[in-house]
Amino acid sequence: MRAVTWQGKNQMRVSDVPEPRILDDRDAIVRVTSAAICGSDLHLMQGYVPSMVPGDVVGHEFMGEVVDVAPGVSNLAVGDRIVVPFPIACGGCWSCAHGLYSSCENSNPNSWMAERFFGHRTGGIFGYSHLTGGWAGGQAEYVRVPFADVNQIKITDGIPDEQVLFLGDILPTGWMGAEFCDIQPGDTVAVWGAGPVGLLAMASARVLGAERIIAIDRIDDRLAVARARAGATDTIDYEEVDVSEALRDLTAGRGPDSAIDAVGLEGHSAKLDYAIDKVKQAAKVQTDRPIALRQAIRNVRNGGIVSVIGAYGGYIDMFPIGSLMNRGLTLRAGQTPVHKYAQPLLEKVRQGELDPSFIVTHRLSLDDARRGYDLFKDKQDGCVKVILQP
Amino acid sequence: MPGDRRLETMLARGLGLFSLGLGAVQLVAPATFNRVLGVGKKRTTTAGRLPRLVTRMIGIRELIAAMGLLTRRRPAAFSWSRVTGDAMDLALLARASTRPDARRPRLAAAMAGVAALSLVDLVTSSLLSEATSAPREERVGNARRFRRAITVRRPMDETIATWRSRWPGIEAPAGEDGRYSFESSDGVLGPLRGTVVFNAAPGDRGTEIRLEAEYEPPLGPIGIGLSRLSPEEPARRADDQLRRLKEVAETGQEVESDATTAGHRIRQQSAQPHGGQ
Repeated sequence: MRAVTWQGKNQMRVSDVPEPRILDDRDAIVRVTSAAICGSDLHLMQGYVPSMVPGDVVGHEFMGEVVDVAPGVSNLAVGDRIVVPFPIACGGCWSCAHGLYSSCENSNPNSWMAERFFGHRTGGIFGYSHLTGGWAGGQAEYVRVPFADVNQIKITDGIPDEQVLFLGDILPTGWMGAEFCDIQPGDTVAVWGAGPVGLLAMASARVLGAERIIAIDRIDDRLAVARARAGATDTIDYEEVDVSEALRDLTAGRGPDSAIDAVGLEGHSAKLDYAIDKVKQAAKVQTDRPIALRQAIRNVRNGGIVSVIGAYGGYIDMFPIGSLMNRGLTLRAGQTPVHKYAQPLLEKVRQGELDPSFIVTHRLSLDDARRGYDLFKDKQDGCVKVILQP
Repeated sequence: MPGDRRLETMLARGLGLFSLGLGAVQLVAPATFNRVLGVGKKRTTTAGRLPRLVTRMIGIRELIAAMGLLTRRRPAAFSWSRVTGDAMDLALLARASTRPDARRPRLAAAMAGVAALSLVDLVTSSLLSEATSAPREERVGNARRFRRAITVRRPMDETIATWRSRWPGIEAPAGEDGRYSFESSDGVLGPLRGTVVFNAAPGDRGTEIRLEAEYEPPLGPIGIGLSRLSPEEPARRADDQLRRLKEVAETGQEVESDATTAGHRIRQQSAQPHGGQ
C-alpha cells in the first residue's frame, strides 16, 4: 500500500509499504478515506521531533472505514465509519479512567524514552516518532488501530468527512484551548497563531461566549479567514505592528482576559528575539522557540489565563516566570485528551453549531502528499489545511 | 540507607590526585611533557607551539576535573568528564603520531596507558553514578541492590494473580501479607534474589508493587560498575517486566506498536506479526 513516510529532515515521500494486519485482540484495521496534514507534522518533517527513523509512516489525523476487527472489540463491525483520535488510549489505566487519555500509561511501548525526556511517561500517538511509541501513522491507505474499542469516534450518519475528520485532533484541541480560558461574559480572548488550531480555538471561543476575539498572525490570508469565518473581531499582523501596543490599544490598557498560544515550538517574530531564539536552538541551548508563549504571558491581564495548545517538544530559555508569578497568572496546557471531547463536539457539529470544515483549503490525493507538505509549510496559495484522500 | 562508599571515595580521590599532578605538569611544563610523551622534539618553531597550547588546555581541563573529584560530595559528573577527556586524548595522541618528528614507540605507550586508564575511569564513573542513584540503586559490598516500583490500577488479589500467572516459578510466600520473596537463576549477570511487596494504593489507584532485588555480578565492584552499562542489566529488565505486567493487568494484553514488534523501525511492522516473542 501507499503511505507517507519520513525519510530524513525535510524529506517526506510516498512509499510502498506492507499493509498492516491485526496483531492484538483489541486491534482494528481502518481503510483511510481522509487524512490531514497537521502543523505538528511540520515540526516532525523539519526534524524538531527527536527519535524519528527514516521510513516511519506519519499522520495522526485520519478517518475511514473499518475493514477488519479483532475478536476483543465488541463495539465495532466491518463497514463502520470512524474517526480515530490522535492519542492512543488503553481505557484501563488510571489516566484513562480520569479522562487524561493523552497521558495513557500503557499505549506507549517506548515510554522509557518519554520518561527520560519528560520526567514521566506519556501516551502513544499515531505516526509521531518513537518517543510516542513508534506507531505507524494514518497518511496511508490502511492503518492498524490498537485498543480500537476505545480509540474510535463512530460516525453513524452521512456527514461528509471534512466536517468530522477534525474531531480526531484539532477541533477538540482548539475547543480545549478555549475551554481552558474559562470564558466569562465580556471576556476578550487573544489567540496567537491563525493556523488550523488557532482558527478552531477562535471558533470555539465564539461558541463559548467570548465578547472579543483577537487573532495574531502575519499571514494576511489567515487573518482574513479568522475575521470572515472563525469569529475574530480584531486582527493583529505582528510584522506590521507591535503586538503589546496593539493589545493595550484594543483593550484600553487592561490586556486580554486570556491568551491562547496556538503557535508552539516554531514561533516567529519581527524582532530580534526571533534571531536570538534561532541561534539558541541551533546551538542546542533550547529545543523550542517560545516566542508566542512569552508574548502571551506578558500581555494577558493580571490574574489572566494562558492556555497552551501549540505543540512544544522540549526545553526553552528566557521563560517569563517573573510575569507569571508576580501577576498571578494561570498556565494551562496539554496534549488534548480527544476521547473526552469527541461526543459533545460531534453533537455540536451535527447541530450545526460548529463547522470546522471552513479551514480546508486544499484537497489532494495521497500521491501528492509532498506538494501538500510544501504548500502547508510555506503557506503558499492561501494554504491553511490540507486533506489527503488515498 | 546509603551503602558503604569507601571504595568509590577512594577511587575518586585517587583519580583526582592523578588529575591534579598531570594537570600541574601540563600547565607548567608543556614542552617537557610533550617531549617525554614523544609528541615532538622541536621546541621553538611555530609548529611546536600548537602542541604546547593544546597541552596547556588539557592541563586546565585536568585541574578542573581534579577540583571536582577532590572537593565534591557527588563527583560523578567530573569522573565522567575524565572519560570524555580520555577519548579526546586518544584522538589527539593518534593525531600527534602522524607528525614527522613524532616518536612513535613512546606515543604508542602513552596511548596504551590512556586506554588502560580510561577503563578505570569508566568503572569509577559508573560506580559514582550508582552512588548518586540512591535510594533506587546501590552497591552493597560485592552485590548490586536495586528497587523498582509501579502502580497497577487493579485490586490487589487480581494483581497478585496476574503476577503469578506470568512468573509462577520465582515466587514463594514469606508469611507476611502481600510480601513474597523470589530467587531467579536465569539472570545473565548471576542469580537474582529479592522480595516483592504488594500493597493497596491510596484512593482508587489500585495496587502498588515494590520490588527489591540484588545480584552479585562477577569481578566484584568492577563487575557492578560494568553491569550498570549493560542493556541486559537486571534493574532495566525489571523496569520492563513491571511495565509489561501493568499492561497485561490493565489492558489484557502486552502492547505492541508497529515498531516494537520487530525492534526499532516503524515501517509497517504490523504487516509482519510477531512470531518470536
